[in-house]
Amino acid sequence: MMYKPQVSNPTGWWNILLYFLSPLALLLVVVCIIAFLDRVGQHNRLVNLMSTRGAIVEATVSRLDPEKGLVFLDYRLDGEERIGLLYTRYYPDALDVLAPGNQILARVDRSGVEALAVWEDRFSQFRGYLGFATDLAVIFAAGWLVLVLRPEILYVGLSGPETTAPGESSK
Amino acid sequence: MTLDVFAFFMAGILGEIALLWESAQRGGSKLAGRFGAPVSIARFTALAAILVAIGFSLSASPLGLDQVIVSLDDLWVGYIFAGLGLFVLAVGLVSDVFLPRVGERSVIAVQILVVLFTVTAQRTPAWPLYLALTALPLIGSLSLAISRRNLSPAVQALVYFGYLLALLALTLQVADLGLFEAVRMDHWQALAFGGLFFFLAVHTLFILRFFLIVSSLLIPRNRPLAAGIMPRLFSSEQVSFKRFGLFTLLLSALVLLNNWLNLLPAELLAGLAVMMGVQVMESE
Repeated sequence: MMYKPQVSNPTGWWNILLYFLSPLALLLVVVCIIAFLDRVGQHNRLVNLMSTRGAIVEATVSRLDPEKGLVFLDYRLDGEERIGLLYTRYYPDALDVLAPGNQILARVDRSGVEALAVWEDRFSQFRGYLGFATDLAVIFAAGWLVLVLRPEILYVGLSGPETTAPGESSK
Repeated sequence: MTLDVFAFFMAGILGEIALLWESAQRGGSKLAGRFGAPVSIARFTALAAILVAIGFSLSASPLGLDQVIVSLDDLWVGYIFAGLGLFVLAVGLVSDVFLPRVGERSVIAVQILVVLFTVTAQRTPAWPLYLALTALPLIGSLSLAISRRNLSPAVQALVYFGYLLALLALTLQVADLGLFEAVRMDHWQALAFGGLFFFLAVHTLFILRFFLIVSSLLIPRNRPLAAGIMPRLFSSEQVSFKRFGLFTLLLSALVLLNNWLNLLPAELLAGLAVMMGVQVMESE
């Protein structure tokens, strides 16, 4: 005899909506995880790059761009004038603290491939930054909630017992 | 990696697919039973894949194929991995065809092996997290085993989740130690790595699904759903204590010996020990 779990079968527009949303929620959760891992990988790559190939230079703040969240730095490395970009997302108070003409210690990519500059005095803030996960966390939470309320889609393809009800098998 | 090594890698994946499918059939997977090949054909497929890889590598040298380097930058390799990725996504999210059934003792064995590996192998910065992911559920599993109580489906689900967390900790460490980016591998390492890669990929994806299932148990009306599937994933019947003890000791000794003698990459051996622990100690 096929085991049939006693599950309530609620109707109502709210439950029907959740039933329809649950496959989408599952895909959203998976995409969120993949996107999160990708962003973590990118961030770790930048942290490693700055830790291993970064050069510490004396940089001058040339201008601020609050709309784009950027602080432009001028610095000199290996006899070459370069421009570095300080992203304010890593340092929320940067636009209040820094002004054109200020001099700061910055860590930059010695090879010049990355335009990113890291504020050396606040390297730990850069390293521990998790802001890339905020939007993903919201989407993940929404998908998680739908699946907690209506998890039936998660059981697709999982085999139930043929004749044994739960609790009957013993050690 | 070179083309002949890649052949061994793919043979490892195919071999593990066949072995896991066979495991799932024995574990009661209806999908594996309906569409899967009989056990003898699955074993034959695994053996054939290995023989083809051997044959390929033997003939590769005269043809110069062992000098051909393949990577993800090659289009055809990209297609293979994209197809493999979609396949793993599908089987992880909407089927159980590659999930062996585990029991309390095989879960404990896996957790012990992963804790041993975490503590003895090269430490990565996040090793305390990996240790916590495995050691805490191990303490729970051991106390349940010692208490000798019948486990309710909800508790079985938590024990199974602890097993999946151990596999996740192993996957993350293997990734941290760079095995997934290893450029130089010999044929047999590639074969083992192919099998390990597929095993961890399927289980890592299933962790997400099972996390969502366990989360849904917060709502009491969802608990009968989980109760229905736990007999497929978790068996209350135990392998004999002798078999459990022997295999756990043997595999643990292998992991420790390898750390001392440095014969194989530690993370590769730990992964193989875990796979063997799950598939050899499958409850009857």
